[in-house]
Amino acid sequence: MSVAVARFRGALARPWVGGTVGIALLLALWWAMTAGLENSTSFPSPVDVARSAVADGWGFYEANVVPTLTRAAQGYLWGNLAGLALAAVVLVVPRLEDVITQLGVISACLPVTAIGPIVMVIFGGRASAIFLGALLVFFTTLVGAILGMRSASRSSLDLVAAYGGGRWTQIRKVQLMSALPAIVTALQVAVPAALLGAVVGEYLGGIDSGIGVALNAAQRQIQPDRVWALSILAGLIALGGYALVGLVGRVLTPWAKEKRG
Amino acid sequence: MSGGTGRFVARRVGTLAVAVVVALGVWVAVLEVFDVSPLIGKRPWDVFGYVVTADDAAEHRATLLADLAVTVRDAGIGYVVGLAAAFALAVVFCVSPVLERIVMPTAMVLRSIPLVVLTPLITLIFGIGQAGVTAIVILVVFLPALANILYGLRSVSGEHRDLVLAYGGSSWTVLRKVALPAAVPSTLASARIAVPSAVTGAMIAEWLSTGEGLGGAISKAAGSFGYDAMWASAILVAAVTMLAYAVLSIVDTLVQERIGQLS
Repeated sequence: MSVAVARFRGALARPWVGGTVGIALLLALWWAMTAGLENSTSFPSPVDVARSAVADGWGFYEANVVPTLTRAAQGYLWGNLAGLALAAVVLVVPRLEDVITQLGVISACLPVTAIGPIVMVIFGGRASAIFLGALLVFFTTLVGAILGMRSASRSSLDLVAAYGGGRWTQIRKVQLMSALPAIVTALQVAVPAALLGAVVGEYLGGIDSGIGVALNAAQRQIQPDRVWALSILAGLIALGGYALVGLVGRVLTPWAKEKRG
Repeated sequence: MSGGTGRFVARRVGTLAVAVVVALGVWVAVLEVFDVSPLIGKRPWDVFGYVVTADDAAEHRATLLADLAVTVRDAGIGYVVGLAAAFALAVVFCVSPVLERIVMPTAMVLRSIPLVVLTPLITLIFGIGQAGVTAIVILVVFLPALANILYGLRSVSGEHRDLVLAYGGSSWTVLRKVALPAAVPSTLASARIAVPSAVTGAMIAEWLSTGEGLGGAISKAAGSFGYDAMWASAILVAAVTMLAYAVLSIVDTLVQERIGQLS
């Protein structure tokens, strides 16, 4: 008996098994909570949501997911480029680190909901979705890259210097190598952030298709099934992107394996 | 010692000042480069005028501060509750890793649903009001803090743990004597990082659900072409967030220095 219990606990400790159990429990809880509410206008059951997703069909989702993904991808690209560029400046001129980090903090303290309407008024709807994605991505990538460069061990840097390597060799052989795993993590975190920015931008209006637009419409037409289906889909996309970037990063930075454990 | 602390704080404030000046420069430069009409794109001096020198500046200030108070309350309640809950759950997970394996992946899924998407769902469940806003802020603050604090609790070295166990301490003693002190830096870092997210969460909730506070004020101003009020609200909330972040990050560094000296 106790062997079975121990084995059961051992199985739960594996990430996949534990995660599946957790999600199954969440679904069961959701089902149980909604079982009492027949035809609730706010809190549909998982079955209703699945049924609505099937009824809407792929055409509906494709029309809204593709534009959002395009905007999120552009925001992701620009935000990360800006973050990495400023991190590169810090790498070359370390004295600027404090000021540049502080600038990043300022950018993180600008709430998207405050900047969104302003950007929207100035640049229009499409650009604001991209801009907000970029803004949300910028800080995490900047800080992740700088932290990664700083994690280069002093002794490795000294070793390069002792063998006659210059500052450029130090940067190339030591600091970039140690920064890449941290950058990969930052790029992972940036995926949901870019999506959030794009959806907020779409929510502000001025655009005719996208997840944010569809959500807004579904809410106004009181279609909770569709609201929930779109929400879950957005979450799955974010999670999928997060996992994909992690996978690609792991392949590209094999030396980081022992660090991640 | 206090001289060193004073100098450290002064240097931090100096860096902040330089960065603020650069940010103001970027603000003006972007508006000029894209040739944005001054009717829409307000410059720093326009905002200053709106809040300080305009005829009805006192009235503007009163409105802004009243909205700010609501936003600070909205963000503050969720911030405190979210951090406390994250800390408590991190301790529980530290004692029971199996529970962590079950809850964490689910939490990750929930976290990766964009906040704007989640807000209507939470509003549907909790209704429009303080409970809904607080729930949203808690959600934003809670998960990153939980992951961070847990990481800190786990960073205990094997030798320290073994030492306590060898002298007859229980795993509870390990937690109290070794793990909790080890988690202080990551807890402080979480408290710092959570400030901007709590404000963002509160602003999104106010925008999409209650319509109160600075979040509500900005969307109302945007809808009625009140661009002065919109810019002033945005700058105010960014400034207050920055101030809170700066204070926490100074406290963070000072406490860590203190711990470093003690050990």
